[in-house]
Amino acid sequence: MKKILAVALAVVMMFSVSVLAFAANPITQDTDQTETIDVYTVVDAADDTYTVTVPASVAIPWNNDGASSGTADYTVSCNLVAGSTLQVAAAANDGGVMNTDPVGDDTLTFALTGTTEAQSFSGYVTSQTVDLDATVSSFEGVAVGEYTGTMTYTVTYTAV
Amino acid sequence: MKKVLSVALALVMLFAVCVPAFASQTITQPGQTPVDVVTLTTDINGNPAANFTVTIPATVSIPWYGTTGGDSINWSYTSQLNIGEQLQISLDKTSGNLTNGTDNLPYTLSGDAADAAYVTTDEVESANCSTAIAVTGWDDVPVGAYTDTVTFTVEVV
Repeated sequence: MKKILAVALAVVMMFSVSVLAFAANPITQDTDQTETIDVYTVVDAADDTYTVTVPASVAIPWNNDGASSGTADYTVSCNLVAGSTLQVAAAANDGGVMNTDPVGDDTLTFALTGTTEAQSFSGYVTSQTVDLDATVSSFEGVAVGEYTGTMTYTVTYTAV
Repeated sequence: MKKVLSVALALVMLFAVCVPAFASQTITQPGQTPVDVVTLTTDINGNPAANFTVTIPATVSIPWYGTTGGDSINWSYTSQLNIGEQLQISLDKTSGNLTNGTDNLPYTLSGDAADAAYVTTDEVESANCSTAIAVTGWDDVPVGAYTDTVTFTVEVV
């Protein structure tokens, strides 16, 4: 009985040694001397990265003769797994009204011009700049001064 | 000392190169980022935007014995000044003499800018103004061309 058990265990051990060889494509003297192995990366939405660069402020030069604009461009870089998306939107706050500090009798109004609709990004994007301006259409009848309004950039990220 | 100065100057130069990068901000998380939009008080060429124009006649012609209803210096202005500023227009005299050699025709000025300096009431303003000129002594002097100069002074106050 003991001898039978010993032989059985030895056979089991031999089979376990063989398992690794069963999972591969063996190269022997009778086969091609090369074999291919598939190597692939495993990705996850946790690996997604992105950067949206916006101006610290937007300055609009005065124009006594008509409209004037300040640059509000933003730049996007991202590296997202397939299925993840990034959306950037910009909007003028409070209808674009601009006041002095302290608030006086005169106001100005700015509007966003250029690529004003929300932009979506996916995959690998390197420093893509979106053209956007803040424009005052008329400075007529308004005392010259620093009028301030606010715009908001909204970044929305959706993981796969 | 020279090495310390050269290192310091190199650092100053590097910081100057970095300045444009500080004019933006980066977003790496979802959410809303407010940004101020501000008008400058200079135009796109960097020139001050505040402006005004005062239009005065080069000459004023008065017929002998004057115009029925009176003679006047008609002038106008338009302004778009900085917040808090006003335009002030004044004359160098309220009376004088129109002269022709040794002969004089006295005159007085009244009305806008004559009785007192004319000061606008708003930064953005335009108006037509009139300064009356009354000449006397027509019968005391030979008929001829008598002249004098009235100087307008415009200031932003």
